[in-house]
Amino acid sequence: MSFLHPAIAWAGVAAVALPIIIHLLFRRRRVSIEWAAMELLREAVRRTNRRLQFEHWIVLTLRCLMLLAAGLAIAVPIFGTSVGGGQARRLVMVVIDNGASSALRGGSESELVRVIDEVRTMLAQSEIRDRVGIVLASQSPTLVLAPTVDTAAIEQALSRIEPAQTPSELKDAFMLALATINAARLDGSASGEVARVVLASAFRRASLTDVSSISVANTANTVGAFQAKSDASAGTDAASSTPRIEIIALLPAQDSPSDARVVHIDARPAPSGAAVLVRALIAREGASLEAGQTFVRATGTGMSAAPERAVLWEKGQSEATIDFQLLPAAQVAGTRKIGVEVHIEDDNLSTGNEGFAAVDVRSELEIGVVGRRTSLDASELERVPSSLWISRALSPSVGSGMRVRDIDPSACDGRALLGLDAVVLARPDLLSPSACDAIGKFALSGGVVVVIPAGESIAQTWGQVVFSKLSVPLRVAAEAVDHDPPLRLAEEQPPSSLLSSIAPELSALVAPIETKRTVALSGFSKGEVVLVNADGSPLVVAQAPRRDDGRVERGMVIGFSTAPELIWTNLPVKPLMVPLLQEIVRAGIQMAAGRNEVAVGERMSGEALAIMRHEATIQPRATEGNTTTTLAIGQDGVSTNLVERAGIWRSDAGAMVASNVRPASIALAPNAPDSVRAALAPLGDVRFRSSESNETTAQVPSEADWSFMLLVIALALLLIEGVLSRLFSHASLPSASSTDETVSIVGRVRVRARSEPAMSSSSSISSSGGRT
Amino acid sequence: MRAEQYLAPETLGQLLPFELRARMIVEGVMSGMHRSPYQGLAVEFAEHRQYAPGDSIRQIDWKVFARTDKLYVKRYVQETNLDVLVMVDRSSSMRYGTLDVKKGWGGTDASRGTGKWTKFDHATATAAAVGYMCLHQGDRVGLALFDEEVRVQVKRSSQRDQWRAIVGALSTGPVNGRAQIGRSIDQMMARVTNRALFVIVSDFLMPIDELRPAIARLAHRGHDAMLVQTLDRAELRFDFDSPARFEGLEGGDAIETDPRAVRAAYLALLREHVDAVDRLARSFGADALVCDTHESVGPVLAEVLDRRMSFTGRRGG
Repeated sequence: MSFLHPAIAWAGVAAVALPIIIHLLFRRRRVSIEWAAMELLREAVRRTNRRLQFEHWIVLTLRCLMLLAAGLAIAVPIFGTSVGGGQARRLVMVVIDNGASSALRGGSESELVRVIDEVRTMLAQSEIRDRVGIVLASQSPTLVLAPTVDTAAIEQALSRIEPAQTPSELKDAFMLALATINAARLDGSASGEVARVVLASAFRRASLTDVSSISVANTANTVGAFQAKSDASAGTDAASSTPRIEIIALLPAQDSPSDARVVHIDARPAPSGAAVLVRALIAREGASLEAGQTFVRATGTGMSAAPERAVLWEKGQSEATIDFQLLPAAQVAGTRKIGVEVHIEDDNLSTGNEGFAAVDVRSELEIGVVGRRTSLDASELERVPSSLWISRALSPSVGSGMRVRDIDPSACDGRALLGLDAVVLARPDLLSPSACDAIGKFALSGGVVVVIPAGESIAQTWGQVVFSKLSVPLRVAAEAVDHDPPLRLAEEQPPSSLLSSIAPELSALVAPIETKRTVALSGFSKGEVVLVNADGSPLVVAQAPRRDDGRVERGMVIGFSTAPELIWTNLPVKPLMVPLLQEIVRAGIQMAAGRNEVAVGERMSGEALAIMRHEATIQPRATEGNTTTTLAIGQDGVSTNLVERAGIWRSDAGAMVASNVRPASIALAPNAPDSVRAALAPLGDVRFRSSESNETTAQVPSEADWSFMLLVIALALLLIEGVLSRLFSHASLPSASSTDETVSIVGRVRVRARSEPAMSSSSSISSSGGRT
Repeated sequence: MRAEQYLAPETLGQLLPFELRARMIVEGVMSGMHRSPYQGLAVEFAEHRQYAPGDSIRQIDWKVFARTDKLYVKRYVQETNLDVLVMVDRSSSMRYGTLDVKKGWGGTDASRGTGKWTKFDHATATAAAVGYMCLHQGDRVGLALFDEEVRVQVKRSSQRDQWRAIVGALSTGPVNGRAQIGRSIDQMMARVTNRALFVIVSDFLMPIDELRPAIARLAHRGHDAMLVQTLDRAELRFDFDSPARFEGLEGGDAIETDPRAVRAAYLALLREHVDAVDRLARSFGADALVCDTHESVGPVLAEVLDRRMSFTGRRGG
């Protein structure tokens, strides 16, 4: 049993002490009387004591019960079950899907509003006042209203629900609802109540993404398993005592509205100049993908707005890319972090109509090439060292956007690496241990390190030292291997983000490449291969440094299995050389700068905020009203809270992260009831509720009825107490002035009194004698 | 003014000094009686009885013998040598009273302290009045004040100044202690050789078993007794109307109770006790009176006179 106004209930309980306190106070105020006939009085008290005590207890109990009943009546008790054998009261946990897809507008109101209205209707149809708790299903599920019967609180909680941009997590929300029910049962507040979980969702594809991950074998997350656990915890008979938990789901939406969204933004600096190239992937879905157009515009911080462009959809077309070039609004030198935004026109679902990206724009990249040259290097083409080929490839002409700085291996230290964006190790065999340490730190700080085998010798004994310092698991064979005939690159290269900008012409560029000598690489995964030889061995691999605990760090390590020297390969003299090195360095720098994009609903990792790793505070680019959303990065490098909104996030130190809505979280395809039931089957037996159905099944007295009954009881107790206290207080006895009692003592004797007139005139003296 | 009005405690209290008060009581009683107590008291000859061997020949009525030639003996009534012993209880319980003593009233030390007309006040008034009346009829009157034992005693006498001695003894002395009526009666009986009328004025709030042996010994010795049970009106009615703490005048644990709740039981017990005293008295040929301190003592005197006549009659017979 609980109360609508617990404080008043406690006051009622406390009021029970009032009669006792009054009794004690009045007891102190009793007057003292000197008395002669003490033995008679003592005997009289002894004879009446049991009756008096009984009377006192009766009256005291009545008074206490009366106050208790009155207090409880005012406090509005809420009973778990009816006393008359009616249907049990329910504990209803409403799981409201306010995920990203719930903002879908089907007319003037959003789907979330429609779902909430349906929940309101369902709750209003119940004649009993259910205890209702509310769980929001958007990531991460939150209990926004603990179970209560306070209709005002329920309505207030419902009215405050807004669609989130985070994905729906119906499964976790459902489990949270079950946990709440379990907690309520364990603390006794919901004992005997019928528990019900209402899944209030349109059950579009986005809502069932996480539910589909539930396997039937995962019985720990099912209602049945939960029920058994709950029963075991309560120490009761599982079969009989604990009411079942029923799952009610709203009918899934069956419409398939059309909606376009920004799926992906690829923003990178132009190879030359300060411009930013933006490529946006626009997708649309819906039942009928008619021909049409969607207007798209792109902006960037400090950049001139690009002219709005339109995506012209053909019938049935679901995806399209559109390119923008953002030009700087003013001449700016140095490195800048630019937030790029792509917007499409508003449609049925506003969520997803924006895409964000953070891009580093540098006016000129600084590349260090660690190698040793001699005066004879250029005298013979066959003897041109790889460091020279690389320098020429990276900076073939003035204005290429890259500036190469030659570093002798003996002078390679932290100071020499200062200000560099990337380092190419052309002679790793000449690096001292301290140089290796400096390069390792450079990589971990977000730099790109390209490792080339030492072209001067067959033996490659540097591998273990260098790669271990670079914190990558790459391994290199101790000796180079000659190939006759030379190895050719595979015609079909694996997709790699490093070479995505030259991917269309890559097959043509790799065709003439022959490799006569390689050194075997190992310790990489398939996804880390950038270029692969025809025999399957890698030519170029890329790895991110990792901590000892396996956590990916910033930075990028790119390993070559061959040295770009002509005695090793013809790569230096082929067209692939320049774009290969420039792209892997440029793209590598973008990637090594950190994962500067995060999906809404994820935690922001510290890799993107290395300089703010400890308690860094990231502020959003835009403020909503007067509030600014902040995210604190914990000492573990991960934000304590989830990223809940799409946008550009910037730290005080200049770090920038873009957050975007996951496309899967706004997938609007409808699901048939059967498929929804099948998807929810692991949770338990789901029953759908139609809007026409009436859930009024309970005939349990309402709280008002209980209060009225208690009030009547209190009044009845008051009446009984009044009569009994009047009776027991003996106030109704003859008044003290009456002489009846006195006369009765002597009157009996007066009968025997002599009949002389003088004697008979005296009224209160009697006489008797043995002389008659 | 009617005699009864004189005898009301309010009136008695204003009739100072003590002597005047007692006289008013007695005269009021006598004037209110239809049959004067003096009648018959002057008749010396009571009856004739046939002579029996052993009778004194001096008591033979020779005139009757001369007329009837039969021997008859004269029987005479003893006129003046009735011994009346008034015993007044002055234990602590007699200190109780609820009638307010008004200005100008006399009373004893007991009432002076409390401002109430106590049972002891009423008992002394009764004793003084009885003494006065008996002395006026030529009886020998003695007095004893007792609690645990006889504390004050006035020897029997029929002298004119005897009454002053009695009043002097009554008006002083503490009212204290616990009544030991059996012991006190024994002490008095040890000093009385002839038959006497014992008028015992007390509240008799002691166990009947304690009273019974004393009354029995009186009866066995041939004495007559009259028990005047003097109780306050509050004791008779127990008309308190709010919870109170009752503290015993003779000590003991206090009792907290609601008088209204125990009133019926108390009155029933009081009635039983009064009945028991009454039955006890009757069983030994004695009288028992219940006297309300708020009422007149006149009827007590009338009863004493009645008892006296009965006593002298038996003794003559």
